[in-house]
Amino acid sequence: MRYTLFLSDVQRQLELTLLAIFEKHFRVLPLFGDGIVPTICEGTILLPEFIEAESVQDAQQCFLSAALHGAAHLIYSYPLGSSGLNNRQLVLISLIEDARVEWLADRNFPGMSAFFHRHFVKSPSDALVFEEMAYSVAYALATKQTVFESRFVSKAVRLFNQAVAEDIHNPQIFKAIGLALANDMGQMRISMNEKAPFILVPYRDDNAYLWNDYQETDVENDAPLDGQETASVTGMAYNEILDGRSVSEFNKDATLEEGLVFQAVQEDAQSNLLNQPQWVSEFVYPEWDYKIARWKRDWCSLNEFVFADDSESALDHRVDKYRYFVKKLQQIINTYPSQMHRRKKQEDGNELDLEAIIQYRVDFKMGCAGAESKIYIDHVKERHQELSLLVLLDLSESMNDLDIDNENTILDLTLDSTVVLSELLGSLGHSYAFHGFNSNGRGSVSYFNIKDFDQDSETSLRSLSQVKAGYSTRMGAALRHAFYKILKRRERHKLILVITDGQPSDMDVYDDQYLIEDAAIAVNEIESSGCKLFCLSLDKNADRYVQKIFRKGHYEVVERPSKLPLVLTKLYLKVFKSFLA
Amino acid sequence: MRHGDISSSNDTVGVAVVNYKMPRLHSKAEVLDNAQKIADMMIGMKQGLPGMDLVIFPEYSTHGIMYDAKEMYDTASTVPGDETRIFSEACKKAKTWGVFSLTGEQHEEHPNKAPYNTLILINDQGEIVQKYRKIMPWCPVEGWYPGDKTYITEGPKGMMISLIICDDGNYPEIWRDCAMKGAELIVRCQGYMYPAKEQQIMVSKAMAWMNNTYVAVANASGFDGVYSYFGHSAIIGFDGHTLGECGEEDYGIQYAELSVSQIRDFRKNAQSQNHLFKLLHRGYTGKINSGEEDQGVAACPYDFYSTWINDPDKAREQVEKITRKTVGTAECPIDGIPNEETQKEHR
Repeated sequence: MRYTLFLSDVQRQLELTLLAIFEKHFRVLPLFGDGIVPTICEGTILLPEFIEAESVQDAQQCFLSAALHGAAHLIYSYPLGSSGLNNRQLVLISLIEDARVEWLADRNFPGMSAFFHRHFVKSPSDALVFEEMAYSVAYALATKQTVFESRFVSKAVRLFNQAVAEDIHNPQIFKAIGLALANDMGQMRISMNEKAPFILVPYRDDNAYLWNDYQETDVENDAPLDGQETASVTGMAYNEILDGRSVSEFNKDATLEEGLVFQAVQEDAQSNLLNQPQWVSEFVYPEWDYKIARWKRDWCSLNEFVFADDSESALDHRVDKYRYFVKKLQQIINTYPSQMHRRKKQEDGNELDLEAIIQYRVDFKMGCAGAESKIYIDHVKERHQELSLLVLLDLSESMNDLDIDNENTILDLTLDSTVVLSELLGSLGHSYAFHGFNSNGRGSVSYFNIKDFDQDSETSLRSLSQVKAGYSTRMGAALRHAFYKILKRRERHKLILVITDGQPSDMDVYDDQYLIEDAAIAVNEIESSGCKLFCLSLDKNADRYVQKIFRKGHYEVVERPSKLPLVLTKLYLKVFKSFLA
Repeated sequence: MRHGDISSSNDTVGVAVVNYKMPRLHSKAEVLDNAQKIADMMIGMKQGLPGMDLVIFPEYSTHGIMYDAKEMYDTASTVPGDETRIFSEACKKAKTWGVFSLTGEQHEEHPNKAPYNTLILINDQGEIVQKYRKIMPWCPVEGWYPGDKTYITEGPKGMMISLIICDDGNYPEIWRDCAMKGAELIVRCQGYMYPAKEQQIMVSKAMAWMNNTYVAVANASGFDGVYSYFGHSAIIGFDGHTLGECGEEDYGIQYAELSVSQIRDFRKNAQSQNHLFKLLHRGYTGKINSGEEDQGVAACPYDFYSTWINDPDKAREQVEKITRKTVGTAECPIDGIPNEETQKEHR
């Protein structure tokens, strides 16, 4: 008989246990769905909604072990960066890092290793299969026992013990062990089955934390609650705000209660709301300090705003200005060859799908009913709906500078470009959003939602006349929030286009390199998730920093801002297509 | 108080100060090795100085100066932690109290906030009985998070002890604060380097005199690749006379016996130079002669102090009028520190 234990029954108990052991508050939250693997993000441990086991006690142990392991990561690990690593390397580095944090946890809390050992119930085998060899290493490191002689396992244990003696607090040494083991496996021509998810032991998390992969926790409550328009209740916002109490001082008028932010309503709020962007919710984000090579957790407080609807005249003015240009563009794009997309297992097509045929034959021999009709490959045009584009505008003070070519400000030219691009993207059926940002210190990063993905473009773009430039450019926090926004989209291709006119800077940062390095880390995090980034810089002197932040070929410096609408269009025609291929 | 012997008595506290050679370390493992070296040195010293009740090691003696910010954060200690466990064991084994440096100690919000520069006093049972965090980090070179409080602890044979660190000692306020809290021995651990050698020797003596307190200074020696440290660890009597002072040699040790009864007797019976008593009984002779109260004036007559306490921003404004408005200076700029020519504006 199998017993089912729901996380909600032990959630509080787990949080208190972690608090008692580590003297640190962790949120334990449920992840919904089948086959869920635990995952962690800043201050939060996400566990399956329920666990089935032989007994309730076993299920409890499983929850506890997973929570302890996750907490150990949050205390002893920091993101390592997955750039340039293949899946085999990622798995083996993760495996060694798992052993390192459990070793540290056991050293600081003797006896804790027993909570982890008990899950290694399967005896390791000497099969030369990636999954079995990885398990054997994990088994030997966790239980300190070897069941059979293996040079590979012995080497892993020896290197691990040496690293422990050298500097247990330095994950880079342990990362090198993972790389060495991956290299050995490569030499042995042992490959990993990359099609199936790799789960070593169920209590361990997916190690996405190590590789900066963001996980959305629960977006079911995405819509505001009735009567609580200012409440932030999305999964990520919920976690971030709870864990961001240290920076709540930045928003002195707000009170915090179980993840909801209540803003006191001022007497003149009605009239102010007509002219000012409306506050939606507050988020906190970490920031990377390159000098100490550490994350500063819950460091930036970011407030999201939306604009009120405005008169039509402002939009008409900009549309009229470029009406002929936009029409011409649409004609060009209509003649542009679309990307062809190959679809397997189709009922009809001009190419046979050999894999599907073989599978069908196997099923047939086994006496199973097969999908014998789906044995073709067809080629269809790339659907525009496959692209989700978020344009992130720098709205800092330097945008108010006059363009040298005419009397317009750079902000004016950028907004003109926004309209042109909007017309273009709208006519092509893309899903797109226009957002902007500026900052006044880490406690006050503002993120403006000018047009969101699901909003009607004409209605949204009428608010362009309310867009003002001011303050500074804390790009990393804005990029992280843009990523959070686009991550919710279902489209296959996700692209964030940053339009900026100066290097990241802010009033509370005196090291010019600091925000550049953080923005580079943010770009790395985002790209490692599969989302693309491209930057158009309007700063003629941008080469020094823009190539540090964005990868080669993923930025362009626009010498003359007045040409921005044209450049954007060319960018779409020439770069975006190859970029998304 | 006496100097020259290796003993101590029921009335005297045997105090040793060490010219510890400034280490240059890079990892936690190296720091722990060095902590063990300090522990071994302490045990060895006790063998040679059987009267030793308290041994004092200089600022930075455990970690050295981590000129690399990442190394500084990587090696920042906790209290209690691996380093303090080593020191506690040594204190128990040597049956001696010890003052040890932790540069740095992790901030409560580590790594969001910079570590503290911390001293710990461990008793002969191995217990941490005082933890002091440097109030005046040596800006612009040091990047420690500033502490905000001095402490007093009953030490060996009942002697009251306060800990201060290096640049703290250039500010008369901290000496007065400790002495007025009851400190009879103020321990100043330094990692002081040239050029300010004579000034530092002078200021500790002057502060001992002006606050009627014993002072024990432990300073680093040697060259760490960046600075050269002048040693001159010393033990100073409450009358401002130096009882014993090292030279610049590495691992030089000075030792003296500080009488508990003598300093208490002085503070009770001294008159013209009893600075602690007189500060709060100001002009009692004149007041008596004037037929007013016989206790003198207790109120603080110094405008600066009342402004500082009641309106710190105003006090800062006043000092900026006679100094400068920015923390950095354009004529000798330092990266990362704003000066009058690098004032931030929104861009």
